[in-house]
Amino acid sequence: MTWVLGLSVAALIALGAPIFVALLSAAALALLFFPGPPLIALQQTIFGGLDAYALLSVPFFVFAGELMAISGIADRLINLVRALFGRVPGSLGIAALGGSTLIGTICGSSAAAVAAVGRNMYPQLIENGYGRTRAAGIITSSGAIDIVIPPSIAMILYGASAEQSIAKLFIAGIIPGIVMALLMAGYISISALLARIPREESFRARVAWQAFKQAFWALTMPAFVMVGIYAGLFSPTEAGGFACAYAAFIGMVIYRTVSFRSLLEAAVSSAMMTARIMIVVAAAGVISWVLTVEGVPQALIAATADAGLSPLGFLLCVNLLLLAIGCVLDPTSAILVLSPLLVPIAVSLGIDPIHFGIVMTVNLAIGMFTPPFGLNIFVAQSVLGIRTSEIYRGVLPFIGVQVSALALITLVPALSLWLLHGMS
Amino acid sequence: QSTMKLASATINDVQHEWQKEFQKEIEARVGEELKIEIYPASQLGAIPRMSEGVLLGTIEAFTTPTSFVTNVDPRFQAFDVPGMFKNADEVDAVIHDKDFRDYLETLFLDKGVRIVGAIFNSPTQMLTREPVTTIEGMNGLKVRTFASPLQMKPMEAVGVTPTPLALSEVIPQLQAGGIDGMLAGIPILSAFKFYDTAKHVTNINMNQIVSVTLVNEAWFQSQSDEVKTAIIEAGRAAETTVFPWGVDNVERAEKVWLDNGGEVHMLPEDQQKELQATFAKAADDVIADQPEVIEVKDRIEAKLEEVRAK
Amino acid sequence: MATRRGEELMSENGIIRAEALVVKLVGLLLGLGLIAMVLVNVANAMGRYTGWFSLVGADELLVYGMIWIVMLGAILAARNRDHLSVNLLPAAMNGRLGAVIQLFVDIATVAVSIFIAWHSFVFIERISALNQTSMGLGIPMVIPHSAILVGFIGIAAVTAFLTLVDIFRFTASKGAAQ
Ligand code: NA
Ligand code: NA
Repeated sequence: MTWVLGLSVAALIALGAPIFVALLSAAALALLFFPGPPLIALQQTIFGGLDAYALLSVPFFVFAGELMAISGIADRLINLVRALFGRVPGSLGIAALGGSTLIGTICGSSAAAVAAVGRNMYPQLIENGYGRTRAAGIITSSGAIDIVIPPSIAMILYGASAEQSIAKLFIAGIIPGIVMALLMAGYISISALLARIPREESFRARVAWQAFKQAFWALTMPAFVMVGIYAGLFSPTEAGGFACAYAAFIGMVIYRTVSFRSLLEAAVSSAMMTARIMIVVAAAGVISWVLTVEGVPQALIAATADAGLSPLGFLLCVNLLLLAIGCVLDPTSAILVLSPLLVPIAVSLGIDPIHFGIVMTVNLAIGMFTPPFGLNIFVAQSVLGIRTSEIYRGVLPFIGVQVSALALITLVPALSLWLLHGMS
Repeated sequence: QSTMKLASATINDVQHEWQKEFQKEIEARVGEELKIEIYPASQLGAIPRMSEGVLLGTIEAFTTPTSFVTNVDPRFQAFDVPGMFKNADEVDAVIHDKDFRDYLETLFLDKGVRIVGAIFNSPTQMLTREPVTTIEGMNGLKVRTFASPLQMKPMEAVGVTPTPLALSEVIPQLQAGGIDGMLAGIPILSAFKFYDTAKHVTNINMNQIVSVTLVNEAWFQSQSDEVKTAIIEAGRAAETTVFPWGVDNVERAEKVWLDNGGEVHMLPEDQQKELQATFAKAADDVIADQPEVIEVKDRIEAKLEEVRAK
Repeated sequence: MATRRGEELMSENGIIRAEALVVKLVGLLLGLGLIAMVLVNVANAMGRYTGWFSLVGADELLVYGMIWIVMLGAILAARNRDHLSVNLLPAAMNGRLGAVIQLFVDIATVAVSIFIAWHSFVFIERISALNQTSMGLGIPMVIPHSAILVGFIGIAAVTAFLTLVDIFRFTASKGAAQ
């Protein structure tokens, strides 16, 4: 069963078939050869994979990213970062990482962040000597931080299916998200230094002030979105729509860089990008559903439960299992299916379920960019217009970095729980 | 041997408990003949997908509060009318009355679903960021409701602005003050640890939530007579077993709420009466032009009068 | 002879231009749809925040709009052959082997799209017989569900068209080479 799925997906993907075709063929074959539920369930699961309010953040943030690019908001923000930190090795790479992290604080979807940051930062990174592989690696992997930093769709789903407080999960994700970002920043900086990527001239107050003045309105955009969320004007999903509206306002009224025509063109290309991302999301949902009704994850987890592991052994086992699953499944469906099964075992071993939720989220965040299958990889490839093999090579070192972060987050529960205990 | 997938949106609550009891009862009756698989916590998809699934037979059974299947058949609204049932015992007396239960089992056969389980879930209460202890205190609050007139109109009648909102947006909006509260049963509020976000629950007892288990009728008819009988009997046996569990569960949930720093408020008795009357009037207006709903509601109320007379 | 060849070219150009126009119009529709979604989203949040008005069913409208955008966009992406895919292997091959692989992938795409479209059709037929409506907007569920059917029929159709054009070109170039 699992083999049929795996082999047909792998064969079709390797031959360059559209990902959604490979996934749906595998699901169709599995349902034909291993009859279970009626085939009309295909329609239902494809539709169900798209019919989720939180997924609206994908079209909205893709569109917002596009508008930031054509209005010049992104350029001005990047120039400011360069004026302030240009002397730091790898500053532009860190700016891309910072962009992802910033988008992460207002958005819960990793694919949208990759699209937005990739669209804005990739040309700059190439121009500044980062090389395609390195630039793609930075952009593809840093998007994963978005689902660890609150708000996060993955955590909302974990909270709902494991009966944990979503509010606590959000708080618990803050430090692990920062840890991931810091480790990434450290790696980007050191590797940029070793690769002798050219640095900017030393910091000059006058240049920085000029860049700040230039970027003032651009800076109000993330500020507006953050304030809007925390003042209750809009929800995290709606924030995407407001980000579009505000970026369009700045572009059309303040900077006058955006005409109605270019706005419409941006909307058309964002809609197309959304379609290409979401059809893969829907098809991946079908695969998860087929695996669930055929009892595959249940069997895997039963085997884990029967192994009689220590808490630490269990956590490591779960990490390996989830990293493997993350190679083929998308995190949203994986969390829905796996957490009701794994959390009771974790709790019986004395593991804090909030800590466990963070461990799961980080795992599946990494799964977003581990080859061969990772939504962030496909999105990056499409936005950056480069070969998959280059992205595969680019993300390799970052898998190492983020797995180290995962190890740290797994071994030190305080990273997740400290802020919570500080609260109560 | 056939398989019966039982789906629901929640876990470790009275719905899940009924499913587990049902599984035991089936095993005792027909053993391996019918394999029960339980999928709690929306593992088989969101609520609209599960209700479509049971209608079209992609899943065999779905356990849900009646308010989530009013689009399957509007007559499900009859169970959600605010102010109708006063408490759990009244729900028990009506839905487990032999006559009524027979009537209920086949009421929705024209939609292709059979009811094999009917259970008391919990009363609908109001969670808020700030304490609410009077009807006036509700005035102007933005409270998350379902996009259903039977929740929205009665809330409007007491001055609340009903605010339908996707479930994934509720916590962030509550935290930020974009909404002031939400309607829910206390087992849900405690299970999802809402006390971390908003501390106050007002026992408005708007309605008593009834959960039902729908089975795809075409699938049901394709089973052997022995299995059909077992399903019907097991469903009713499980109802009887879980009723006290469900009542205790509401108490347990309230205790969990209080133990975690949450507070529970009651309106003064006269105001509670006034509130129920206002709700009931608003609800009557909502269903006034739906005779098929009124017919079922009348049936429930006739049984209620019988029960109250005793 | 010369005039007939000219007519053929003209009608071919006509088809190509008509097709290009349809593609452009659908693209514009998707763009306008996305802009409309942004406006509904903003209006809905503003109405809720101020308490002035409440757009019941706005969440459904947004999600169903997104589903239609995704499925129509997927047809255009199939038409432009730029769906997300892994481009490891085909680069290493060119010429005849590449064409054969492309043909195989296209046939798989058409086959799986027709398969999904068929079961989607059966589903929609049954859901429409049951008069299912949505919770918030109260619209027939056939409307949002049809997006999947339309999308996969469209993907099958444009891919079949591209495949035929490819086969025609391939045989033509083979003929020219001989
Ligand atoms: Na986030
Ligand atoms: Na992966």
